[in-house]
Amino acid sequence: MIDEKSQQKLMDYLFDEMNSDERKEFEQKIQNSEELRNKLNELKATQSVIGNYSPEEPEENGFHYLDESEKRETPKRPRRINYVILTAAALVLISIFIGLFSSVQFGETEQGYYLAFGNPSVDVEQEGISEEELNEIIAQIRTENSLMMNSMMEQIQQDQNAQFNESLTALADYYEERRNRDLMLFTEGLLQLEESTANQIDQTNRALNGIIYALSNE
Amino acid sequence: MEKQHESYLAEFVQNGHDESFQIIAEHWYPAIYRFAYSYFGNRDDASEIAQKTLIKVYQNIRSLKEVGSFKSWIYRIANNLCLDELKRAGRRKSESLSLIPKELKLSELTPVTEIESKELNSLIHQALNRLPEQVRAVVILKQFEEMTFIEIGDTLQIPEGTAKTRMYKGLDLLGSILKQWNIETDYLNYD
Repeated sequence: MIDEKSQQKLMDYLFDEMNSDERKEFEQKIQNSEELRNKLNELKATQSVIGNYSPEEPEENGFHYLDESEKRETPKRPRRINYVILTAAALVLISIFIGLFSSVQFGETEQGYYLAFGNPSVDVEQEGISEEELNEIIAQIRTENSLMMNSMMEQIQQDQNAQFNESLTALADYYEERRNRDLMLFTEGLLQLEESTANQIDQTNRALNGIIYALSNE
Repeated sequence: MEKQHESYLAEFVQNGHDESFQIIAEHWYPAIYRFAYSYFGNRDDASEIAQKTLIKVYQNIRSLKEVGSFKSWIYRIANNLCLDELKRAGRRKSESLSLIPKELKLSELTPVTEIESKELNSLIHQALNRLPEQVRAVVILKQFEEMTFIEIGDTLQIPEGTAKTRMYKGLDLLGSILKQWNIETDYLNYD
């Protein structure tokens, strides 16, 4: 008979819910117990057979969306509701009973009816917000958020385009300036070369004149 | 669907975002349908349970405090609905394991590989039906929904160890049932 702890270990082992140390330890235990070994094989075989079971897939769009009557239906709690109703009824009865022996005030204000003992101040204002108004506010906030997001996205897009154009102009200016500078350097170089070549020709001419003069004197 | 996405969607629905519920419904309907199909073995019951489960999810999602445990919560609802349906219809109950329907028992010892898949599906379903309810729920969640034992414990609100013990019992009983039906499970090959 396999004890409960070993049964649980067998399940952990079979469904691979053990860490490596536990697995090694349990494998050792299996090696030493023929009963455990046989049971493990039986369980594996059964698991393999029921692994062939394939529940049918549902048809497409199987879920029918909720109609209004099913939406937000209050969970049924009959007993609790009964207690609440009974308690409320008891309170009303007690109030009426006490009211008989005291000065009960009942009247109407702009906000509705009131029931009170003594001389109440009826100027109490209770301005709440209905679910419908809340939904409208939420819808409005959503719309505004959406518009704001779109406007932000457009602004970001415009900023990015402007930045890109600026970068492009700056790059073009840089290359233009560099080209002009290179052109000036090249022209200067050319002038210097021209000047030095003229000097060299002049020097050569003078040297040749000197030689001719010397040869003619001889 | 990732667990984090489930949590976000559940939170959105809690805050009144109905479009998120549509995503939840489309994602979970097939899974719950398969789960219920494992219980009942027919399309009508499976689709009814899946439908009811999602309606309950929609109606009660605001009461879900731990959105991280959405998966366990939805399966718990589905499982409870399945059990209610079984009780209502007076089906299953504890059919004695010794009562083997004649039409199920094969005439001679037959290896699993020689049984047609449709027939085998039906046999396995019948075998599942013969498990005690508590055991069957664990077997379905473990074997077909591939939950961990911790998740099963969370879903059925039982200790993890109990889930393991029930799974052991389930496999053990299924093995016995299959043997009684002359279905050879060729387990000797595993040595």
